[in-house]
Amino acid sequence: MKKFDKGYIYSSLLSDLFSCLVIVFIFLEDFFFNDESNAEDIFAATPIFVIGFVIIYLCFIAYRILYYKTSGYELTEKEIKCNRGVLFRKRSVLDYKKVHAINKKQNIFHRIFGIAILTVDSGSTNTSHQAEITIIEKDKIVDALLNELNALKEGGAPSMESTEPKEELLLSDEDSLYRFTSGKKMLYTLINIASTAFFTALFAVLAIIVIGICKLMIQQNFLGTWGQYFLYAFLITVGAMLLFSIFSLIGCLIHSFVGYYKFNITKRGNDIQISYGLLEKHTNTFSYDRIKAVKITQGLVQRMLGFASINLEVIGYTVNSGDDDKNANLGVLVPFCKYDEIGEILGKVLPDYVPDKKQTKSISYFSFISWFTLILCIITGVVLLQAILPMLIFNVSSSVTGAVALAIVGLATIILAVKALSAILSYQNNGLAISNGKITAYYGGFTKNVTVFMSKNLIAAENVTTPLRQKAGITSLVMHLKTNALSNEVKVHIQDDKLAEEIEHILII
Amino acid sequence: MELRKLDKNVLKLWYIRAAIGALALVGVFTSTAVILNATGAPGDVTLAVLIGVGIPVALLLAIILIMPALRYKMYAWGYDDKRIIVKQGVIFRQRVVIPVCQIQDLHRTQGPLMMMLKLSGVTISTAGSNFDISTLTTEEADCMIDELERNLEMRIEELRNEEI
Repeated sequence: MKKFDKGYIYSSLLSDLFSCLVIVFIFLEDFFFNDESNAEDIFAATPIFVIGFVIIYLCFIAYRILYYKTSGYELTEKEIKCNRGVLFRKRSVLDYKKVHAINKKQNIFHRIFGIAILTVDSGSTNTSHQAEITIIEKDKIVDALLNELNALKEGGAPSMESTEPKEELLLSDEDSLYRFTSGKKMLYTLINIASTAFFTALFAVLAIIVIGICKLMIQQNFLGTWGQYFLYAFLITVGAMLLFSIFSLIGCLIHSFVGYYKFNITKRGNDIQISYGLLEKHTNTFSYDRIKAVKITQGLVQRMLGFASINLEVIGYTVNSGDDDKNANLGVLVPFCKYDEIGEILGKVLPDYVPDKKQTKSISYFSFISWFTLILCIITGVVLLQAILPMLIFNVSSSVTGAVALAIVGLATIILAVKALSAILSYQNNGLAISNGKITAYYGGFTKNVTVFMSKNLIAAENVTTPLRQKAGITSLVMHLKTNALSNEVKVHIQDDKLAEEIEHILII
Repeated sequence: MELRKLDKNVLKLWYIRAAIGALALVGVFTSTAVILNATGAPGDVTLAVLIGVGIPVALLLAIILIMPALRYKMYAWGYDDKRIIVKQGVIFRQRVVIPVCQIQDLHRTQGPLMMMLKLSGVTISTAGSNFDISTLTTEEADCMIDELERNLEMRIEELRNEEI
């Protein structure tokens, strides 16, 4: 069994050192840089901290060396084998035919030592939290392995020089089926910021109402200092929200310009390869037939300006977070494009997944809002009772009682207005198209979603109705897809109940 | 397909669970009253707090005690050689259809209360989601698992022949 490259130890230790220093700085900043700390205390404490740091770091070194010693991989005629783990040792064997996706990842520490991580995924639900096979090797060997595994999963034979560096197959710019240009990135960032600004503005409106009530409480000396505390707490929350908006702007800029640096989609035979990233470079390869669904998403601002993003549901192609872990987010196919271009892009990359035009639509608007209104009225009533009754017992002045009641009713009205708006959008969005073994589901309110999937990937169907809706022939459809993602349901609301029978028929066939 | 109702023991189990929930809620209300009394809070403050806690507790209590009977009335389940159907829900009524050929594994679970009442829960795992058939008698659960296993094998054989 071949061992991983030694660069793994060096890069991991460098990254551990960096993380340790950051953690130590955060924890000890107050102690060392505090004006009240005297020099003697610092002098006495420093050796203890240094010894503690060295011991912890030695543990990291021991762990990394042991991981290196116990890990390895082997490509046999039929399968790929991999050993790893220190305390909990794992031996994985994966048949080439069962390979779902092959992902290459390289962060800045890996690049310093010229290594990369290759993860091979089987798409099993049992390993949905972790890659089945992990190989850490020199960058060029990883590229060679990537090409070899792609050939092997298509039925090719393993070559003897599998781990020898091969000539890198360069993908020219012309090969790429989609270009994420700087202009598009800037627009993508601006739209994301506009979305954040919209919700911050909504929050600000609510904040103004609550602050107004607090001021009134203070003027009337209701609850004494508690009114002031409440006001301060709320002002801190508003400040935190604004800070969050600023951080999201910076995060979004980094995400689009650094995270999606050199975003390329290429197609080679049956394989689709998506590569991107500056500090952390990703190259994800998967077969066309492993795609379970395509999801087109449009946020409210994106929708107003006619843009969208396209995501893929491919087991194994997810946003990798650690060396070995993966979360269950959908993999990105096109981060940002014009809504009108979707047909053209999907026609080139995934011709079977071009969304069909809606064949059905929601049959009632009121159903989208009826239950929400009823529940909101009950909650508002209970909150009003809880707020007003104690005020009456305490003989609070009628102006404060009136203002609190007005604020509660006002808040409920704003929530209802937002829901009514969302219901209008849902009423317009929801619908289905079924044709030739393909299902296109349109759903969502503020965020419009279109999910395209093959009926063979439908594993269960649910229909949800109420007694009144049943009489009117209205149902909401929930379709469960064959995937190991966290959210594998597609919900299409307020449809004709005959559709449920049609979906059930497709499912059983 | 004719759908079956749940066993009467299931209703007993749900009522025992509801009683435990109700006791916890009554406990919250009583402990609030005791704390207020022990701290010597003024009468109007005690009344205000008890109203504040009492209204949601009373509402939740009503829901907890009514729900088992309504849930039991609405619950129905059944299966044949092609599909499993579960109908449930009091206000929002769900009808779930799971094709037999999509079953990956079947699980039977039992807690202490279920053991006492000779009941079992059945979980059906598919390639994407898990579905629970709330609670059956242990005999029904075992019978269902055995039959579904047989139906699954038959269905796979049928599909194989269709492909050939």
